[in-house]
Amino acid sequence: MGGMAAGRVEPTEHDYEEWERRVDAMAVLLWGLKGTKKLMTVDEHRRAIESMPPEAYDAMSYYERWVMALAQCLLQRGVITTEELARRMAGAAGSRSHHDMGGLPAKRVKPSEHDYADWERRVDALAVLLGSMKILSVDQRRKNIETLPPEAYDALSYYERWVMSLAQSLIQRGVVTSAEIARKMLEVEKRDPA
Amino acid sequence: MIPPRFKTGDRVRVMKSYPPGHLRTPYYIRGCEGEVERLCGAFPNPEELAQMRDGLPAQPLYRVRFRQSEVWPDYRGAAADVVEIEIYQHWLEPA
Repeated sequence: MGGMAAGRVEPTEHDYEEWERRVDAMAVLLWGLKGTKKLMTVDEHRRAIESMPPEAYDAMSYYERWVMALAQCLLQRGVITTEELARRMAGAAGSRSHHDMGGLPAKRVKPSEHDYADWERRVDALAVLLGSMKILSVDQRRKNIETLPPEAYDALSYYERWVMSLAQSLIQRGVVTSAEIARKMLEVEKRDPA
Repeated sequence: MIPPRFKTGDRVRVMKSYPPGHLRTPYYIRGCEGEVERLCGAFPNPEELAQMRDGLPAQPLYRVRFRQSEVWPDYRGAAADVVEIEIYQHWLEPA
């Protein structure tokens, strides 16, 4: 948010709560002490914080974000499973994921026939090919669609979401790097529009 | 494959939990009680597939039938209306 309009920052001294110290200690342990097993990296943790939905990001305190990100990283690394976490969390209140809209008020659905654009067919084909090459799974693609920020999710069309998800998945799998995509996007931008 | 715990006609309750991750159990059905309509087979766990792991052993998947009037408090349709949802075994408990 650097450079964005904001109110005056009031510097204050404050002490940490007991649970906050515990979260910090846990993160440091997972990042790996000298000679111990590294279960996650600092940047993995940061990335998980940065990819929180904006609403959740704004609503949480600093260490609450750390907790959410720790859970996300431990799931990604397979240290814990979603099933184990679900069992332990059973009964606790929770929020709806943005894409999971069953039962929400909505307008009438108007069924209509439509043809696919050429680029949409190409995106679909690409996803199927990446799947058959075992570079991508259907559920990884879905996961990356579901974790789009709500604003982006709503603004994008069906296959536009696929494109975003494919890029994210390929970065996660190390097939391409963020830097490579950044460079290529710059090249495309500089291309002669004619 | 994980052995099936339920058979057609068994009453089950969906785990009421909201963990992070890629979940195939819709938000609105968590905590609801229904009846096993059929066992659909067993499939790798999508929660694990989403993280690029193999999702094995395969989880039994059931089609579970819920009364609409029990799912939606303000449901105004026919009393016999149902909704059927496919739910993995680890999200179900005996009711």
